[in-house]
Amino acid sequence: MSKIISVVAGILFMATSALADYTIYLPTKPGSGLDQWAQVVIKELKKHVDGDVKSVHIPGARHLLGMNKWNKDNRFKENAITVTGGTTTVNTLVKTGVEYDYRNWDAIGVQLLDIFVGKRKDWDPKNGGMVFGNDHAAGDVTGMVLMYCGNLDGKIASYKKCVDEDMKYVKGVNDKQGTLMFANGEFNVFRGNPTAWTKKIKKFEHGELWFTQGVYDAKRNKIVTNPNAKGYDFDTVFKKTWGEKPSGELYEAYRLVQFQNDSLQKGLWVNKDAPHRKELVKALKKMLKDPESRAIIAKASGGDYKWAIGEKADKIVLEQRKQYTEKKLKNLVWWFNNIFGWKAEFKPELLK
Amino acid sequence: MDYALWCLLGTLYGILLGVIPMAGAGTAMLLVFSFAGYFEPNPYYGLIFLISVIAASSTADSYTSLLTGIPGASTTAASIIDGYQMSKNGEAGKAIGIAMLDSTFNGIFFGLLAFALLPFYAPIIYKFGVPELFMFMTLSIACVAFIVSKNFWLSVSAILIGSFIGLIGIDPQTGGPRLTFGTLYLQDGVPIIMMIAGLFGIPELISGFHLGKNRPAPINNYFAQLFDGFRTTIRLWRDSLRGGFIGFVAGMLPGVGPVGDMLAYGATVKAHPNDKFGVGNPKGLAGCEGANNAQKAGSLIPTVLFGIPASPFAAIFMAMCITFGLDVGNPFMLEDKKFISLLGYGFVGATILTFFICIFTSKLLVKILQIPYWIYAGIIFAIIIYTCQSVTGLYMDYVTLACCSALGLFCYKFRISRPAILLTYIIIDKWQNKLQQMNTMYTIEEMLTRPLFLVLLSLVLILVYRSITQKNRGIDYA
Repeated sequence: MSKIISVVAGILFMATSALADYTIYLPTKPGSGLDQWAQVVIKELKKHVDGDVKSVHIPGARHLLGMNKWNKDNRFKENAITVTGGTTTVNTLVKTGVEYDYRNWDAIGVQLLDIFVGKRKDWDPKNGGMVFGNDHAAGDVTGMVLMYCGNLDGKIASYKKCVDEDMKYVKGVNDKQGTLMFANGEFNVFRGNPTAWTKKIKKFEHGELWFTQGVYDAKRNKIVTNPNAKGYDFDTVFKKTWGEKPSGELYEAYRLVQFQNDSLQKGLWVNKDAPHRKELVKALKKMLKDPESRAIIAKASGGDYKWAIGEKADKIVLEQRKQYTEKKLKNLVWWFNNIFGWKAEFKPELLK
Repeated sequence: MDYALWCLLGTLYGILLGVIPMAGAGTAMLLVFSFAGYFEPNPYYGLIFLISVIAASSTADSYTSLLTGIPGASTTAASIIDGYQMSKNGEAGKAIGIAMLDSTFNGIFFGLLAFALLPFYAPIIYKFGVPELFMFMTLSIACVAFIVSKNFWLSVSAILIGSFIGLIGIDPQTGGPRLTFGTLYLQDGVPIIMMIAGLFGIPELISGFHLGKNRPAPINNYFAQLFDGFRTTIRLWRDSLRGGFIGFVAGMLPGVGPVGDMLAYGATVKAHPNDKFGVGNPKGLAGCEGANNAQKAGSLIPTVLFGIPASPFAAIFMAMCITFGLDVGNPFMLEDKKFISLLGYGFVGATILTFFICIFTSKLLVKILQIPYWIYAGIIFAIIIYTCQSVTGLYMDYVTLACCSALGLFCYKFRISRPAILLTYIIIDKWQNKLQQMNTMYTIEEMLTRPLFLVLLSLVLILVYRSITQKNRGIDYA
């Protein structure tokens, strides 16, 4: 019997340490939003690559630990891939401790997703009393504040007054808690990515779509109306609500973080000039042409969202940098620190 | 068909680990972490495998308790009192018969009760706003700390230790690091697998070396005794059902589940004041054996719905499900019909499978008990180390596991409640967050108009008051 146990243990060890042809380093906990998206894509990608794809999670510090380790170490390993999310890219704008730079990597592909914001049907924003949260999605929450307060006098400080006096901003709410708080009526507004929207928020009878952030159009290099939610993009709804186009310091800062988040919301990357990129780009293209894979990903993403593949996705990183101005970055830092209690910092090196 | 296969595999694996002294459901699942990645493409295979492991090990761990007098798991200690005595009296087969039928009956009955009713809990859960969730978490901490520990100050120490470790990470209120000592590794908190391995896995393994080297009691005239055991269980159905009920309710109360069998045994003794117990009385065995299985079913309810694991095994189950991509811990899980049905069918199916496999392989299972303990302890230890070092692959994995193990051994030695530490570690961050959210959203007057909040608050106050005023409590689970 002891021999049997030894053999079983031996097989178990061999099985768990078996070599994979590709290794995806995920900078997140198993089960997180980014991980869920990645698992679906990995499963479909596997069908179109020669060889196996193994995933390794490196959780910690809201993607920072895994991404820093990727940039410093893992990207140089043979056949290494990483996955990035909206948080990963927004981190580079204002967060301390970011040691990674997208310009050191080559993209396999980026899915151009949207963010949905819902509200209670029985709540009219004009009557005041917005109760909301979800500070890890600070960009989207900024959009809610703008939509609720209007243009005001255009100064960012005026929005703090609007938040402090006219709404309850609840800190420390993650997606799961926020969805429950929206479901039980404690929140009258909530946001979610297309998957969360389709799977959960959309199903609440008391909820309706308020607006969406919009999706990035790589050809036109701008955020445009989501074809899956026509007429609900931020600018259109804002104009309908307030009778004028959105403008001002906070709007400019919001546009920056929104562009940053949505243009690279979910992506697959390898090291700069990595030899396996070509093979993976080919596999990704095959995957997107396969109607079955495409349908599975569309289901998981809450709609058939476009991808920027290979060099087209690389260009987005450079386009993002063109959006940076000292004023926008400083306003964003001020906003995040004063409203969300972050310890964000202005990074002058982003302007170089 | 695939699900049936995974159920069978989980059952066989659960039986094997269940029979090993001091292993049980918790250790069995801990070892599954090392190959959790294989279930990511289809997490439901992982789910049915896990639930089968839980059901099977909860029944199979009786062998060790009955035949060697060493607990098969920490939750089956009560079975030893009369069960081991029966084996020493030459009634090992009968004891196995009682244990098998009692465990199977309670596993099926309370398993069905728990999982069939699960979807009906959703409307209740939507009544839980921030104040109710805050108070429910407070009640959970109060339960685990003050019901299953004899010493008030040791309970407080456990809460403080659990709170300190649980608060390590990113502060959800500020988004900034908290108690991380400048390391990025700790910004995601101390990994749960390290806490479980350190607090329970390694101390239980080490304690196994100190529990004596009893050779298993011989099984004579097996099938005749086995059927005698079945008949006895049917005759003692009231004791069996009472035990299961107590185990089920204890299972739903955070921290109380692991002592469900002791509570059930105590109730059986009280129900038969003229009987002598501890001498091989079948009533003693029938009254506590099924509690363990019913407790497992009960413990999964708060785990699945609220993310508050009622027992250490449930904490591992929750962590494993999240690893597979199954987002347990919120009522939206109830919308996943596949999840709910696999949970129910898996638990009940594996319980039935275990019954038949065990009764026909008893003599083979006894052979496992004859293997020197150091062999399987060594293998389990190696797999735990391997599993933990794969969290990030950084040297900090080893450091963290070493620290958690040292803490686990310290608490084991000085009787500081490890379930209380684990539960507080898991929920303190949410508890503190909810407290601050409650302050933002509600005034005291508003909270005092919420009936559910007031009920929960009253329960907490009663528990704390009783823990301070009641000097002699009979149960101590560290």
